[in-house]
Amino acid sequence: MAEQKPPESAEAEKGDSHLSTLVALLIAIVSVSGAVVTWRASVSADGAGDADVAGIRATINLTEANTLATVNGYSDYASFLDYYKYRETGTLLEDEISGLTEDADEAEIAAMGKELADNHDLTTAASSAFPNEYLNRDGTYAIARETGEYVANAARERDTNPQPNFDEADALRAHTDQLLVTLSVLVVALVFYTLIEATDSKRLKYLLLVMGTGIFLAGLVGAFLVESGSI
Amino acid sequence: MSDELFKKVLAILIALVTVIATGIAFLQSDAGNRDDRAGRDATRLAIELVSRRVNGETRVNFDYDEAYQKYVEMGTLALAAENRGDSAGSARYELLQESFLKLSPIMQPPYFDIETGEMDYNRYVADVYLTDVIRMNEQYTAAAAVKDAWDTKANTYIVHLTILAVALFLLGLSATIEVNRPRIIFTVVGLAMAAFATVWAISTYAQPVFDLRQQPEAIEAFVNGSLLIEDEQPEAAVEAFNTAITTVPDYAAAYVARSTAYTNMGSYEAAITDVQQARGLGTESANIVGEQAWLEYLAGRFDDSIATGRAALEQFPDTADLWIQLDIALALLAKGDIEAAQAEYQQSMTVAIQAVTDARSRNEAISPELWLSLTGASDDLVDLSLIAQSDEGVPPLETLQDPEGIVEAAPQLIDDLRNLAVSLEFYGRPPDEPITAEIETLEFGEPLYDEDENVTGHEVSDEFEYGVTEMDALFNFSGMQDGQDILVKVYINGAEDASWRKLLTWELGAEGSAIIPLAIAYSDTFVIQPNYYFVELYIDGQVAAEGGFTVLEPE
Repeated sequence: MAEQKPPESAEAEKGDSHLSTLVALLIAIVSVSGAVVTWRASVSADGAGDADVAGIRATINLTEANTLATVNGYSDYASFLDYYKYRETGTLLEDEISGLTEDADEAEIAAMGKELADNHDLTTAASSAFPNEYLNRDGTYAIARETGEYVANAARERDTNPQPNFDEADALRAHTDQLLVTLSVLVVALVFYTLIEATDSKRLKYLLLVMGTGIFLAGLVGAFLVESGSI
Repeated sequence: MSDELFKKVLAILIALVTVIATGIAFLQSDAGNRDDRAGRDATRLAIELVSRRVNGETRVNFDYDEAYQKYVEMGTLALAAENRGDSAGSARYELLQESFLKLSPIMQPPYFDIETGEMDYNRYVADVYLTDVIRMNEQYTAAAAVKDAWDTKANTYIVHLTILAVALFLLGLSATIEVNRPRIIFTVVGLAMAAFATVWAISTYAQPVFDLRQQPEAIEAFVNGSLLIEDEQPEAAVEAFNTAITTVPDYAAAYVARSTAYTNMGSYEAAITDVQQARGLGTESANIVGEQAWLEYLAGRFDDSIATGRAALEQFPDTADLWIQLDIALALLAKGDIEAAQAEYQQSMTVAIQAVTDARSRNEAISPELWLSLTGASDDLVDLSLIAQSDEGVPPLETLQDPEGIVEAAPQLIDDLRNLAVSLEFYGRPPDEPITAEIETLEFGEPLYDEDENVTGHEVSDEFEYGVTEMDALFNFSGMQDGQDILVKVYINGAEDASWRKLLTWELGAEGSAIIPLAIAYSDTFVIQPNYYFVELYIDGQVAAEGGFTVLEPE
């Protein structure tokens, strides 16, 4: 025959059972919340990695554009130097010929004329070896403009600015760290809920329940604020 | 302790270990993030560093090899025209030369003095790219070290977490079993593991990660010192590196760089100390150990040099650097162990030949490192032989154990090394059987001309007055075959000047006399510069004759 429990003891046992059920429910909710926070932290960390890759790709694009601009630009500039040499030589020869007196040696005049004609031919040939649009009005070559335009054109076609990507990666890493801090807070709440089961004092149980729930809510709000970008 | 109480205590312990594990997981994540960030910075710096160097080199090469050379060319043409009596042409070229000055910053102040024609090339290189490149290289090295440190931390935290997971398992297991002794054992072991992991994690966390980038003054001092080495101011460079080392006592790269400055000053013992210091700080590679062996050789510490060289080969058995073994052979020779040196040289050449055979079997190109090392070794042998004869250079004569032995053994070793180097460079294989052709009476002479510019003979000598513009090599030959390759190499003060090289195909029959022009009168301004010129004549990759002449300083 089963022993009859006193009514107040049955009442207390019923209360304990309700508390245990509530704690179990809260532990489950905190665990699920922790899993969600962990998932968001993982997504954020993954995004940071992607942003870093994009930044490195932009760095490669920029350095490739700079290198090609320099190599091509200075190759053109070298061709320009040949052109410049022939052109200036021609100009000086013209000045010399025009300065000759009437009694100048015919053979010398003919030789200079031939040299001038050769120079004109060489100037014309050399002028096709570099882009003429970068010639300055004073006859020099705008190498900085040529390389600058090359890089600018490359920037229109591809991302050549790595810094925003790296800034985004750093921000996402900070975001991940903040989410992990809130996860730690949630775990502390779990500890409080676990301690409820380890104590017999009813007052202490409720105190732990309140403290655990407070910490849980703080962690939850913190996670929400981090995720919403408020922190 | 009652079962109920035991389980309550256990629950509290499990909760505490879980909190600790969560904290370590956070630290692991943070370390991983810092690892990723430093790795990204290192990658970015590496890419930008290469680009900066390529761009800078391209620009400087253009400025010097194109723009400045055009300027020089115009000056040479002006001088040549003047020498021809064409004053109008000379004036034209001078005007043209002047107009070139505006085409490159290398020909403008502060890099170029128009009055004296002096150029501060090193300063220009430093300003265009070298300063940035050295700085970026240090930042890259620093970022890579930071990445390595945080990577180690992150991985160590994973070990801690794994230990804590096992500890939690043991604590959980002890909560499920009823038998008293095993559950106490599980609990004690679990708690011990948790305590161990926690203490280890705290220790890991407490270890600081040094980031050289946070010491910009040390990096700037290093950059300054490196530029001063380039500018051939080793004393000032040492001062700069001292500043870097005072700021960061464990700055390994600064010790390596300071050793270079000390080497340039001839302070070999100080250089050795610095290399050893850098090695102690973790800078350990075949190059750095080989460098120490070379410094010990220069300091006359031949036993130490041999031991260090052997240690380098033992420590880095896969190194492709033949020069370390060749340096051991040189140290053996300097030590007076002639037979051992000859054996070491022979073994080095066998290694080179084997490397060629391996490369050919894989259908790969032969590494130029092979013939460069062999040529370098032959040059070092020439230097050592000269020291043994004239007491000029390092290691000092008094440290050489058997100078006569060195002088006696050196010529054959030099020939063997150069034969192999030339065969590898030009034919991609070791030398064939010894050649049968003979070259006799290799002499040098300045061609003499009659009024119609026909060569009438040579003024043969081994010394020529300053102003000589042409030089021919004259010799008698026998046993030659048409179609054989003739290579002429000219060494100026011990180092080959490749602009004098001649590669010819023999067409003069089996025997007779031959004249090979070494230097022709290139222009109205060219003269052969005062120096000692050592000439080697190779037939099918093997030395057949050698000799030399001197052009005297102007009076």
